[in-house]
Amino acid sequence: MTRDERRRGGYTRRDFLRGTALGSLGWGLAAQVGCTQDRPPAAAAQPPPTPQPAPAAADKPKVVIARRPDAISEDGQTVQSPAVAEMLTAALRELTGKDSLAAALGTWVRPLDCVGIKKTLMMTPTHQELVDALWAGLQQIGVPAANLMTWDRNRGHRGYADGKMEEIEYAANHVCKVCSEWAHVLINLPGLKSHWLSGIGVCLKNWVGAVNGVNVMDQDVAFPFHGDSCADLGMIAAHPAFQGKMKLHIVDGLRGLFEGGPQVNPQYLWNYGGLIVGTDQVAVDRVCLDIIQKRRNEFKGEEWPLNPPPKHIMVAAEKYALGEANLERIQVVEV
Amino acid sequence: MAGPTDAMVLLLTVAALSMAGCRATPEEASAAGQSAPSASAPTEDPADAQFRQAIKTAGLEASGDLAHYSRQTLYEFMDGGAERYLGYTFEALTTGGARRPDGEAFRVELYRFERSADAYGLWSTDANGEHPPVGQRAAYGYGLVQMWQGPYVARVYHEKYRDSTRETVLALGAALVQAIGEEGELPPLLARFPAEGRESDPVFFHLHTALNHLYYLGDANLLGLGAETDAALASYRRGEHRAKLLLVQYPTAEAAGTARQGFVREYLERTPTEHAVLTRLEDGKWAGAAAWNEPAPAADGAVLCIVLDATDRLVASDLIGRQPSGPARAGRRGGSRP
Repeated sequence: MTRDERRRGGYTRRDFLRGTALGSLGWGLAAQVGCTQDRPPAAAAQPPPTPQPAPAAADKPKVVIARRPDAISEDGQTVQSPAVAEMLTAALRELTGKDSLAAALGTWVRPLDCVGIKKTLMMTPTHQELVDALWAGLQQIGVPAANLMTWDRNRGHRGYADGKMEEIEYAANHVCKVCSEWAHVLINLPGLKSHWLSGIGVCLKNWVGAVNGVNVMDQDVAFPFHGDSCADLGMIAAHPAFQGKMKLHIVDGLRGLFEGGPQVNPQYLWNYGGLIVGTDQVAVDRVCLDIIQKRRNEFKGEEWPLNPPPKHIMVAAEKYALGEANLERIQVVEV
Repeated sequence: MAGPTDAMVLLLTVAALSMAGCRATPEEASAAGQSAPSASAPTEDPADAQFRQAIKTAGLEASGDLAHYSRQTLYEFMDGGAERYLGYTFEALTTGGARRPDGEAFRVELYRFERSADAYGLWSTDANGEHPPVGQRAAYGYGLVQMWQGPYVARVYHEKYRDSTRETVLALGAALVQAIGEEGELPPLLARFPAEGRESDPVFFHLHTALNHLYYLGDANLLGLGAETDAALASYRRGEHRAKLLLVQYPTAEAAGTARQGFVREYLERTPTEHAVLTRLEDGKWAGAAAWNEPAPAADGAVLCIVLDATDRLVASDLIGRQPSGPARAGRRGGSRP
């Protein structure tokens, strides 16, 4: 049986060791699974992946990391709202080249647009301080309260701080009506976290809370993504109901989770004190993978591979054309 | 018992939100709570009495009602994470709250499994940390203790994960263990791991998804893991050398043989033979496999021994080169789960 024939059944760890798995995307996952430079001759004889010219910086998707160590208290219990607002403003200014939060948000949001903000409530929820900072910017643009919905799964918050809760309905296509019928603009606010089943659960994973009728057996469902370590998670963001609406992805990295998840073991929470922001959610997820992997290695003092490898990031790029998964082709800017 | 009250629903939601240091708006708490009624149980659950007794023994006061989840509703408690539990013979979860006189709040989650071995298995997948003498096994860190006791796994934690509450968390855990009472046996497979150089308790599991979280071997289920296989993974350090040993217990020798051949062919990329196979991989480490048929009276089963990430050939060879001795597979109850 040839290697190509075997690949029909998926990759193995050895493919990552060789750099032949996902190699064309420059993943560097070989390092994640413990590959060393000390390769035996047979493997060294393998032809290397064909090098591709690096794009100019202007052509690369930009991912902005804003960090403020004082944004969250040492015990992780208190968040400084001004620091979060400052980070959000700095990140969006860098991302857009505009001179204020409102002007930056105006890149994607017009005053009368209906705006859906997808937060996460599960286990490591999006910090309200980040939602507040985003609301402030949208309010400056003039988005009416009636045109603002912040939600996860079946419940949503209509408007700003004094808004009311509403039940979220789902369309016949199993996408929530916020996304499929109502919103002109969707803003994604996931957490920075590892995930037991998919490796990490950040931007692409957060949209699971925008659809219904999913189950882990993938039986009789509209979005059968659970198999193969959730490799096909990108099928949600690629659904036509979302097309042209997913404008901005802001990862809440104030306190990240680097092992397990979604159930929290506090040994694996850490104060990253940052936001990771971009318009290309695949690129943002790829940068977040790098952040989480570095923290894991730091924690153990050696390579601590993220298991399973979060293949859904590569698959989202390659199969669903949702963005850039090659770290070398992503412009990462820290502010 | 009666269905959950609004106050309980609010408490649970606020507790979940506070785990990561978030403040929840009343609207959010109310919102998340509205999906909870299906989590309630119409009748008294056996765990309720254990809960109440434990909280009283620990000198705490119960806060809110208890909530119950089944295999079917566990997703409502941890969307996206239930799969980890459903990979074992998980049966039921009871959750509740407790409060200290000074107002510090604690949460208790009590997971019941059909088999004690599976309760151990679930516990073993996240056993890092300090190991206080609470229950049959326990792991503590940052205000959370996770314990195995008989067919139960318990998680007891301070809502804000403050280590300063360690004594209370452990006292509540000990009281819960006392209320549970019954002890359980370790998975028989664990007795087959060589003791020399073993760094910690083996992690016990059944499914391919669990293996891929512990050690990513490949996308395909190369080893034919499933509900009827018992598997365990342990790390070894012998001198300066390290290795991992994976043992899989199959119900038939045929199943073990098929898995061994598949692993040798697909992963080691060697021609399967009747002998143990050992090969050096691209990272310079050794991997190999050998299958051993069970002696009578359990002559229909077999154990597959796989060594991974071995930094030394001799260590690898030793780990798979001897038939692992020990008791046969545990009896099964309850059909095809997980």
